[in-house]
Amino acid sequence: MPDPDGGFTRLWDEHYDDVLRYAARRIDHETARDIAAETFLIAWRRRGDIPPDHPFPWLLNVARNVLANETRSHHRRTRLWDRLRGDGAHPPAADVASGLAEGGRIAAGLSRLSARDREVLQLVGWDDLDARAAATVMGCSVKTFSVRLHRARRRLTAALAEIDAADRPAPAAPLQRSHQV
Amino acid sequence: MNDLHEVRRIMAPADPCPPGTFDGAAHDPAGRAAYARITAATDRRTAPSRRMTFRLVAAGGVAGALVAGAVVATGGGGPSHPAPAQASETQQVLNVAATFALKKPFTAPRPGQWVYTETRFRRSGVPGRGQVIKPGSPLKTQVDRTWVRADGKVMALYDQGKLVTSATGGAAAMPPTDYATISKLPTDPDGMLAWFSKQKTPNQGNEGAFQMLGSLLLNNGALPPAQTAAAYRAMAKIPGVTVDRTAKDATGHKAISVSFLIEGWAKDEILLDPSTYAYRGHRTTVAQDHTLPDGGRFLKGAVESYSVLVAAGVVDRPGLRP
Repeated sequence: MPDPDGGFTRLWDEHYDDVLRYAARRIDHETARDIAAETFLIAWRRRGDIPPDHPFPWLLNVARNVLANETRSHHRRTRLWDRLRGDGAHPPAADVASGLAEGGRIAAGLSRLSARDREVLQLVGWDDLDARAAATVMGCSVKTFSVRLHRARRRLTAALAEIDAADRPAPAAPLQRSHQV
Repeated sequence: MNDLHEVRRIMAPADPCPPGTFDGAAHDPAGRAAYARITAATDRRTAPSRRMTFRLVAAGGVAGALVAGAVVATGGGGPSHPAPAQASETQQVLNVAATFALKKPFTAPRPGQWVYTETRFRRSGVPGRGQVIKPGSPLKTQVDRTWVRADGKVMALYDQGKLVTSATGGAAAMPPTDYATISKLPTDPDGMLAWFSKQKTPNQGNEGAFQMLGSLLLNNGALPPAQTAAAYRAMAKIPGVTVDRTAKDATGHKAISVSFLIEGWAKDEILLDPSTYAYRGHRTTVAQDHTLPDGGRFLKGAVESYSVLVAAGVVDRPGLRP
């Protein structure tokens, strides 16, 4: 691969996979590829602006805006929904078989939160950012982010408790403790 | 800071894109194509058109590890975000276990130090002619306490109350149980599977691989994070491995079970802690009535054996506990 700009190539090698994962956690995989490419196109055009010490939160901040533009586009969204309602729209088989598996339970809890709460939790829980990096991505202060995180966590816990209460099965037959080894 | 840790723990099982999912995407065909087109763009205007500049065809294999997509409805009237596709539950669980293993603090033994492993086994024993092991049959308890020097050449254990030191016989143990050998095992799942397939193991193929990986986790008090993670990821690649998040261990505590059916009748499980995903022990249960060649019988539901990893760690000399 030619190396027209050492800094950019390094950025690509070190962070493309992570940016793609960030996008793929939030949108279908084909579109996630587009989001990642668009993010790096912007990075290429603005490569003088990228903070050399902490390029990754900067990249995710760009990716977040690209993603927001993408989901704002009505035309685009309609196409996405069509795609999702077609072949790929089935819930994972494991969830169907065993009620709400843990992943499905958390996803259901997240779906009850505001978009901002979800993003706060996902940046930490999935994208593995610390408060400082996540604050950069969201364009707020570290302190604000920490407060948002704390509140979002509380609201997620409450949502999960609600789901568990609704999901509780009818009383089962007594456990057969005598066979316990 | 507590929030960070707690949120990661809660969210990990729902991560639709666990660490490792797109590893290498920067250099797969779609990634290379995107790189070439971006760096070929000499235009430095900062207002790219809203239209997506790249319509990249997803290259084959990109989504290979991922199964079906799910739709998550949003509350509050915001834009609806379609949820991305999810890995199979087995892959998800083992990926989380691997991720947690990598994050767990680990101190390697220094030369001359010893690795202590304490394991409590309960076994039904092998039924002789005319004997039957059934659910509720008594189990015999055995506690193994071993110290193995980091170089793998000397081990120590209590024999009738006396600490006895002996040579280990080198790295012949399978799976290996000495730090010198395990710390050099491959740290990628494919490499680890390939390594085990080259060794002499009692069972071959998928059964043998699953049992060896389980045994590696059980018998090593100081398995480095990289090898622990590789063992979990290797298990995720074995066809037929299944996960049950609602399992219970022998004492009735919640556990995550990762299992494989051996020879069609024995369900071999490793049990993980439901919140830390740390390795807890193994269990082998009879899934189908089975008669041994010499006439002894196992009845469905009987526990053949289980084990609990009680204590593990590094100490300065044999006889000490971590």
